[in-house]
Order: sequence, then C-alpha cells, then structure tokens
Amino acid sequence: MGEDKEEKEAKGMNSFAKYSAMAFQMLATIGLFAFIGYQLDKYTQQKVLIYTSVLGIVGVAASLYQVVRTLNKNK
Amino acid sequence: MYYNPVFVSRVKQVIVAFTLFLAFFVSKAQAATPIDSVIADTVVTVENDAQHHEAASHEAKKEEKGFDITSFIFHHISDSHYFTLFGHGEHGIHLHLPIILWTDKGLVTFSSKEFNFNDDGTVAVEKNGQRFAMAHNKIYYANETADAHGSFVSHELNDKGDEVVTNARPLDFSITKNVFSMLLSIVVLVILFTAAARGYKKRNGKAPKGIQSFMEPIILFVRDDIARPNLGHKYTKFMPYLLTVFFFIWFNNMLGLVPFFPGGANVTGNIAMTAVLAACTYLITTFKGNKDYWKHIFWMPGVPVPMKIFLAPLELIGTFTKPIALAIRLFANITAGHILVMSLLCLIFIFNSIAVAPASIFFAVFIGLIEFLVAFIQAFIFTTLSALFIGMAVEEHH
Repeated sequence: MGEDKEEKEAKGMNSFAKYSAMAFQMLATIGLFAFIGYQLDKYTQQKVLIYTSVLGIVGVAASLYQVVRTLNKNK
Repeated sequence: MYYNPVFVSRVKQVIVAFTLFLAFFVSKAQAATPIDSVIADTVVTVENDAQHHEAASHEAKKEEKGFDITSFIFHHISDSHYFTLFGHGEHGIHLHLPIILWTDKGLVTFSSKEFNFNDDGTVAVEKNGQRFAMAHNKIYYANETADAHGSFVSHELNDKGDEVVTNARPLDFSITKNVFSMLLSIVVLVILFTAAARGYKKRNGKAPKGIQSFMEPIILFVRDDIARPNLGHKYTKFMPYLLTVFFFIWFNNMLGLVPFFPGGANVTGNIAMTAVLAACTYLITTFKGNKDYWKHIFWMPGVPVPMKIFLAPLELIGTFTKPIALAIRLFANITAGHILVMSLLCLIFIFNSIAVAPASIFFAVFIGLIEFLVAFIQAFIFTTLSALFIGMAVEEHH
C-alpha cells in the first residue's frame, strides 16, 4: 500500500469519527434544551408544554450553529 | 495499516448482508408473530419494566411455559450481585459476590448468597441489628413486617404511574458483576503492559517479541492515528490517558462479548461507567484548556458585541454536550449490541419452535462477529474524540 493511500484512509477514519460525533452532539444539545424546557414546564405548571417546544426549537438552532462552526473549523 | 481494508472495502459487504438479514426478519415478522411488538417491548417498556417484571415473576410460578423476553434481556444487560456460570435461578451454578454496605451503624458485609436470588424484597437479611431487603437489584433497609405480598419494602405509585420503592437505602459499595469485571480487566491490563514494558527493558533496541510484539502495533496505532493528528506536537503529555482509555474500553467491550464466566458483564454498556470516562475527558479539556480556548467560549473574537453575548451560552453548553454525546454513544452502541444478540436468541422461545433455531443462531453469531468490529471501533472513536476535544482545548492560535 502506498504512503498516500494510507494517509488518506487514516484521515477518512478520523473524519468518520468527527462527523458521527457531530450527529451525537446535535442529539445531546437538543435533548439538553428540551429537558430544561420540560423541567420549566413542570415547575411553572403549564397546561401546554410551551417551554419544551420553544426551547426545543432553540436547541435545534443551537445544534445547527455548532455543526456550522465545527465544519468551518475543520477546513 | 492492515486494519484499513476491513473498514473500507468490507463495510459495503457488511451493510448488504445486514440489509438482507433485516429484510428476512421483516418478512418473517409479517408472516408469523409480530416481532415489532417484541422489539418495541424491549425498548419502550423500560420504565414499565419494574412493574411488569414483578407481575411476570408471580405468573412464572404458576405458568412455567410463558417466556418473558423483556425481563430476561434487561436482567442480562443490567448489573447484578451474582455471576451466573450456567443454569438459571436455584438450578444453576453461581458465583456469589460480596455485598459491602455503609449503613447508619457502620460497615456491613455479607455474601449475596443470603438473599437467595430474591429480587422482590420478600427476603430480609439481618446483619448487625439491621435488616436489608433487595428489590430490583437495589438494597434497601427492610421494614419490620412484611406487607400483603410478603414484601419487606414499601411500594408507592409516583405521578407517572410507576411503582417505586420508598424505603431508605444504605450506601452500596458492593463488588457487583460490573465492578468485578472492571477489576479483572485492570489486573489483566496491568499484567499485559508490565510484560510488554519488561520486554522493552530486556531487548532494548532489538525487535519486539511475544506479548510485546502484539502490543506494539496497537500502541503505535493509538499514537500515530489518534494522538498525533489531533494533538500535534503536544501529544506525549496525553498519551498515558488516551492509551488507558483505549485499552480499558476495548478490553471491556471484548470481555462483554464473551458469553461465559469471566465475561458477559455489560460494563461499557453501563451509562454510569461511560459517564465517568467522559467526565475524565471533560475535566482534562477544562483544566488543560488554554487562554484561546476560553476566549473562544466566552468572548468570541471577530464578531460584534451583541453576538459575543449571544454566543457565550451556546459555546458553554457545547462544552457539556460534547462529553455527554461521548458517554451516550458508547453506552448506546454496546447496550444495543447486547440487546440485539439476546433478542435474536430469544426468537426461538417466542416462536416456541426449534425450527427457528438455525436461523436465530446464525444471525446471533453474525451479529456477534460484527460486535467484535464494533468493540474496536467504539474504543477507537471514544479515544479519537477525546483526543480531538483535548486538541481543541490546547491548540495554539497564531
């Protein structure tokens, strides 16, 4: 195997780890925001889960921001 | 590197084989009993499992034929106070592990044999003037008298409708199945690495031999493919941590795949365990992080001031979600693997026919082999991402 190919494959493995980490991080971010929202709803005794939904959306935005930032950094 | 072709070319074959296998089971499921409900059962009813389990154990006495796959699988993947060598319940051979409790009146130790495999609180063990009962693998202070069901612990329905035990608990430092496996893997790793280290001392500058020649490529792999690309020239400082994490996770993953005695514990599929490992990575990034790292979190350079204020909480949350994702990924992958293998084997009992056995065992072995790959890949990914996060914290900006 050539030196170039080896290096390329090692890089591929690292990118695999990085990009799959981003997916899990999105999951954790959205989950964290939704959890905070749920606890707020429970604490304020809302009838409609307003905090959960709003913070859930905020969580999606935050996770997207993190993805964009990570992608820009990896260049 | 010899490992690469496995991931690059075989991955497609594995995906094709896996799709075929899924297709097989989907069609089978429509033809016969609904498997979907079984799988849904295993996944969804985690919370209801406690209730379900208790009801099932009462029913099991009446009706030996009924097979409760949910409690069977969750019994397998959860921690336990005894190690089953083979057999089941009182008919099997078990290794009873010590129970070590820190109670209101000091240290109490006894063998888990005294609970007699009881798991619904109907057996109370008296030690040091205190009484203990075990319910759902947790040890509680027992009540003075048993309730209508013969249980020494009080149950109560919480607001979600789940049954919870309200008794107080002593601090439990028991050597459980998981703790036992961890101690075992520590001993084995220490022996392996001291043997390898002795080899380097004895054959200084010469070709490696024996166990040393097995360890060297893996250690070099961690150095060249994990530490160096992510940490740059500062990698030597973090090599001990990365190597420890890599070998500890890998070895415990592999040990979890061994179906008989020293293996079979679900150590890396325990969320507490993976959370501790991820916390180590978090602490290293937090304390080794340099000025630039913290500046990028709290006062992002190059953006307007309102944006800086807006980004600070987002970046701060990012530092927490990274290790959380790390912990959840390892936990989910290993637990899913264990559940999958067990579910496949349980199919025989669900269809209640020996004709399913060949297919069931074939796919269990197939998934088992994939799990060998997963065991390595997960250890690799955990270490790579730890190195990546540490690398981001110690990186120098010019």
